Amino acid sequence: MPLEHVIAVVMVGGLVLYMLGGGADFGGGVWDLLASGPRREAQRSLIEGAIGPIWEANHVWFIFVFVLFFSAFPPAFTSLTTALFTPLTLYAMGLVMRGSAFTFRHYDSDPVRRRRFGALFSAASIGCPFLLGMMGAALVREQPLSLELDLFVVAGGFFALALVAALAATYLVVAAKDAAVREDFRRRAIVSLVVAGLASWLALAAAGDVAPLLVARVGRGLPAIAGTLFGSVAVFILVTRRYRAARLVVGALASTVVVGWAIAKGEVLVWGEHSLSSSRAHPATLQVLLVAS
Amino acid sequence: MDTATLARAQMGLSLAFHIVFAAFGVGLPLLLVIAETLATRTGDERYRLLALRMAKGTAILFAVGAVSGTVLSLELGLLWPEFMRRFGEVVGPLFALEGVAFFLEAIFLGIVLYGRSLVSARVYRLSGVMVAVSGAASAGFVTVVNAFMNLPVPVQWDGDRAFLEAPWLVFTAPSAATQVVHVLLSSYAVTGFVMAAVHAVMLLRGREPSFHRLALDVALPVGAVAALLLPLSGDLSAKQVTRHQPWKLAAMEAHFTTQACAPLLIGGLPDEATGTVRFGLELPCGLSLLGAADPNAVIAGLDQVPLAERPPITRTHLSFQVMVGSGSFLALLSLVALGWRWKKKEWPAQRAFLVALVLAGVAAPVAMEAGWLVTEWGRQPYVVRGLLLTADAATHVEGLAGRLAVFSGLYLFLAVTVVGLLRNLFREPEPTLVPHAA
Repeated sequence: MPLEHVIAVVMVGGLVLYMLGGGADFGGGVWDLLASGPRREAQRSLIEGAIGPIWEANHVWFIFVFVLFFSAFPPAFTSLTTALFTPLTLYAMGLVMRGSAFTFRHYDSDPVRRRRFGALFSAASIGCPFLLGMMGAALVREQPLSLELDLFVVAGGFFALALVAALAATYLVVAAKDAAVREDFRRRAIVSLVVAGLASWLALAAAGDVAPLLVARVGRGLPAIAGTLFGSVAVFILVTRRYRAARLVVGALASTVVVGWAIAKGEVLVWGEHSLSSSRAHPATLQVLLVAS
Repeated sequence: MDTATLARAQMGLSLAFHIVFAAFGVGLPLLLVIAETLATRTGDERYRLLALRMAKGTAILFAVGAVSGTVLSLELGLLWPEFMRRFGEVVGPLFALEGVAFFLEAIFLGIVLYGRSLVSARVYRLSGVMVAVSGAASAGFVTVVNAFMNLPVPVQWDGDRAFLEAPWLVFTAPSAATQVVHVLLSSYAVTGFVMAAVHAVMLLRGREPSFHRLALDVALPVGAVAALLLPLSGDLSAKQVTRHQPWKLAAMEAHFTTQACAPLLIGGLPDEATGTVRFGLELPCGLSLLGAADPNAVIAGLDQVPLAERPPITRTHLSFQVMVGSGSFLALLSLVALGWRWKKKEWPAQRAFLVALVLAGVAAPVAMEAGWLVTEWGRQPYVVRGLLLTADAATHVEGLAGRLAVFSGLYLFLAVTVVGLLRNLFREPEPTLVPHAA
């Protein structure tokens, strides 16, 4: 395998880890906002406890992929940051707001301020995966890269949001000590899995004209079958309350999505401009990057 | 303002903000380790309570440092697309290493903050040391990027894209060693003096005097030793700059005319048009002595630098004066404090000393920011000296002014909130101790 392909595989691996860790963090923010009912505070403290210890270490995967990208494929990176300038800027602001609001809330004792920080944390936690989903969709469109909105891009945003929500809810089902809180998240996990499934169909249906390769390689290929399988098994596990393998299956589902996305992209980094081989760095740089990572 | 200027303003704002938090990320873990060690050595549990309080503060400051650092990594690509395209291969591995160091720091900090009851005392102490070491390492890697930009090592070219056949050669950037030492020392000085200032304020208000005196025992030695080493490291930097970056030295000193026995300028307002300086004090042969250790050495002036390649002189010079002035104050105060402590076995208790400590808590971050401005402005108009102009590296995206306003507001909000939260930490009741796991 040429070095640039190895690097690309490593980057996809980083994205999978970001999805499993960072994605679940975002999802935690979603459920923080949607915490409701008599156990609202118990739900929130479960989320806070789950995010707390590994906080922000998860976003290191994003930086990892970003750094590999600009070191290994500099021209493609430059095209991407120029074309997606606005959503990336918003994403950066979202990361700042959610990270700091989460910490501020943790260390603040004033209830009013705690509520405001909480709202900021959840709002940013919803915005970030939505933006990532939209950018992911825009990157597989076979047209000059931009965040021009169409049904496919918007569906991509919703799909990503539902997926991270499902991921987090499933983790929280397993992490919950209290049976009632566990039931709350069990229902949420099922609903968000179903929503994610619907959003993925919507996205694939909308991809027909703008991303034919996605339809051919993913929609009619192994990734769609694997995704449907993992999704169905996940719902089954949650419905029948066999939680032991729940995290594993939902993790496999989320990983399938990332890998499927990468398969749809193939050699292309930025459509019409850069491929893996056309924009790769000097082999010496690639070797060092591989050793470092 | 044009787009390149706006991009510089946004990057500058983000860095100026991040630097302070990054410095605490380097310094506070060291202070934590010292407090823990003192607790074990002396058996005085108050040190441990201090460490617990500091851990909370560290968590808040580290969080803001981490998120503002993440934004910076995005801004590199967003605001400086040409820099990343042409030099991404050279600086990329350094950022990758920084990411690894940051990851380690975050993991071990997680143990320090949340894992007290989960690990043994030994593992806990070791984790503290690892946080301090990896924090210093990540600051070091980023500083090497800056050293490369100041004075690039010879690179190979693939079209207009630079690369290194041996990528680790980037560590041989001529100013790397001096810059890294200076950055780390200034991080320790800032952390030590800001923490000392906070406790000095508490002492001035008469709150829990024995506890806050104890805190000075942890903070002041670190700040003071660093502040005394900084002029020495600064001297090495000055000699390095004189030899390899004469344009920067000339701008720092507003040294217009090449001459032997060049004077050292203290203060003064340069007039770039006429090449003169008003209101300055000149020490004869001082610059030759400091820059080249020889009073008769010829020091190149701005007249040797083509007009188009000159850094902005007034700003660079004034920043340098602010850095040296604040740094001298810190060094002097450190000398007094350490001398007193050595002779009388305690820190001075006079009100004047506490007030001076509060001032030092302001002077230390001011000196650090000013020093950073010197190295950045002194490199202009280049982003990579001699190879890529800042204006050519910047993005062409429209509408940066609005974003700059939003980011400014965001940073202001973060700064105000952090200060508010840290103040609250001191109002809270004493934290209680959780025992270690067996």
